[in-house]
Amino acid sequence: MGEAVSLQVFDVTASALSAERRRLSVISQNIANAEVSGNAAHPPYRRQRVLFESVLNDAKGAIGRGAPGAIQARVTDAPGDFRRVLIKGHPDADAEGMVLFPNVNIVDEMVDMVDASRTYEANLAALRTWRQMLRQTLDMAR
Amino acid sequence: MGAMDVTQVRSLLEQAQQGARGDSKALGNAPAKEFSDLLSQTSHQQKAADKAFEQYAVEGKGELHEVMAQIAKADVTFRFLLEVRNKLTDAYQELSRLQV
Repeated sequence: MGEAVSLQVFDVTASALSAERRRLSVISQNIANAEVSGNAAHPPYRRQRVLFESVLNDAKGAIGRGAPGAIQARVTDAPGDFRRVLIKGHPDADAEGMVLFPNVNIVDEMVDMVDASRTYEANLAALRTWRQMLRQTLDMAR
Repeated sequence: MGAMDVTQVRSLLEQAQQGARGDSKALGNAPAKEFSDLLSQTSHQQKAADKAFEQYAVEGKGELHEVMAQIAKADVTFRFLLEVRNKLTDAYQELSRLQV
């Protein structure tokens, strides 16, 4: 049984909420691992970043949950050099006393976090408005 | 949850349909069929919401916002069903008040 377009809106928004939740979990993973040390032989944690892509608008909704127009998140390694810090006597220090730390910048992560949170909120607002519009439309019958 | 099933209303509808079948064959039963389809659609959404809720709360599968979106879908479909039902009963009452 096909679903009305007015109901598919809920699935599209849900896919965006899923993507933002995924983004937030990657951000918290980055923050949690920000101080993992390493060296050339055992590299430290590499920052992860989230890429969003639209689910193709074909008949079956392709990869996602079936709603055309939905989006999904993909996680990849972020480029960038590891931070090199001089800490003599550190277990991970090399011959020169340099220790590698992840390419995570806490400030960047905080900015991304605010962005993720606000985008989540915007999607919720879209859903709330759509639901309200549907209810008002139903009142037309009275 | 799960105690109330919208399809139970269908048996009532079928009884009413049988009662009305006497001389109104010319009307056909297309509206009744559509109402019945709407009932099963609503029931389908209710069950999907039930299942999503159960999977999230009991089995820990899925995500909270997906459950909430499914509940919102079931809510909208049910409200639509209610409006259609209200229209039908209103029409019936108008007819029953008709002075002959």
